[in-house]
Amino acid sequence: MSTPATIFASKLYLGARLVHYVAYAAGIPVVRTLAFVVGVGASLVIAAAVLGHA
Amino acid sequence: MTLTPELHILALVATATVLMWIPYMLARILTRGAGRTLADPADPASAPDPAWAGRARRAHANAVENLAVFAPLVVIAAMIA
Repeated sequence: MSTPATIFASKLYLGARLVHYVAYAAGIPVVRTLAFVVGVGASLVIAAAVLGHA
Repeated sequence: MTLTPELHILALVATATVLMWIPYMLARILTRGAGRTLADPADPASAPDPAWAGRARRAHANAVENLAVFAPLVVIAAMIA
């Protein structure tokens, strides 16, 4: 299965992880945490799509 | 199984993750030299890593931990019709 939501979530995850690495290494607070949370949210979107698949 | 856009992005995430050790290991080579980098990493006589390199190493570990969850979800999504 592939939906616009799961495609968007995947792109969001890629971007969030890149931001997380840079923000973490640079020592930027808040941005690092937000990027982590966005990555978790993107994973949950895909989990919901899989679990809701009839 | 076809290469869905999500699988393609998963490959990009995995590729980015496999490269994440490079900056902090280059920092270690510049800090303590190639010889000591190849030797015992916990040798107390070696210069400590720069603070940012330690953070980059923890960011790499966190990326791996999250990829372990993200990857199977994407693969399962691609496998179901």
